[in-house]
Amino acid sequence: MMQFDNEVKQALQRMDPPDGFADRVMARIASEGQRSEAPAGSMIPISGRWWRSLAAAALVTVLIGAGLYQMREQRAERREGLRARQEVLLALSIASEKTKVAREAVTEP
Amino acid sequence: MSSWQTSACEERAFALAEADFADVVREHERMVFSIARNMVGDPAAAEELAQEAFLELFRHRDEIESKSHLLFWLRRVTTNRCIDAIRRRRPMLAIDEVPELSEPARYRDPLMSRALRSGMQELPSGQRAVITLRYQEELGLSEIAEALALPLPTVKSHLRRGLARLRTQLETLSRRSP
Repeated sequence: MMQFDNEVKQALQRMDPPDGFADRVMARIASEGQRSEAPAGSMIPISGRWWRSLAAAALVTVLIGAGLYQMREQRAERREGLRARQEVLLALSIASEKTKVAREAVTEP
Repeated sequence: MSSWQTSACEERAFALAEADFADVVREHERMVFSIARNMVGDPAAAEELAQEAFLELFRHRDEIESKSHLLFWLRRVTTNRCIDAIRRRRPMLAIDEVPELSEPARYRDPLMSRALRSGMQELPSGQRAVITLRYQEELGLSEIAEALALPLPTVKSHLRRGLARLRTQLETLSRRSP
């Protein structure tokens, strides 16, 4: 048992990496650093929070717009109703006036 | 308290500076490369995985609290990356394809070592990880459990089953050879 353990330990002992390993790691770190440094004015990093705020603002704007549109429609409808009522009243008063004139003409001796 | 946690005094004194990173790589390259090599077998794949482990360390260097935490972190990240790589590719090296180590060992039976390293490549990733950390890094079972975030009974089971399979493979091989 002990002998087998020793064999495994010896088979799996630490070994040197290929020459220049550390230099290659440092070169990759350097190239990664260059890639992550965005040139000035190229792109503004936008986070998820930023997108959520933008979506919320857009939703509020749409809701306010819809509310205003509905209010304007209701006001126009009310104005139209008032105008129609006034026209009906005018027509009735004209008709009443004409009836009166006709009655007077009939009743005159 | 975890095995890598040390005194507050040491933690205060420790800082993984960007300027010293090359020294950190040189200090731990043998350990990291060997874990990868013992787990994936192929030297080129091992180098790639070892490089990635150091790149990840560089990205997270501000989180490293002490020298022991650095060791713990490197072992865990390297092992996990190797487990992922094994699960993705499952490379199986035949005994003839397992390269000889560049470093001659004084008391080692080269054929036996080669057979064992070849046998390692046929074990499931979890068993490979436990055996590598146990025999290469000489970690205790609870340290391995902590590094791999596995329950202690699972670590014991991986070790027992992995060694049993290695022994069986060696016996099969010795029966085949004249």
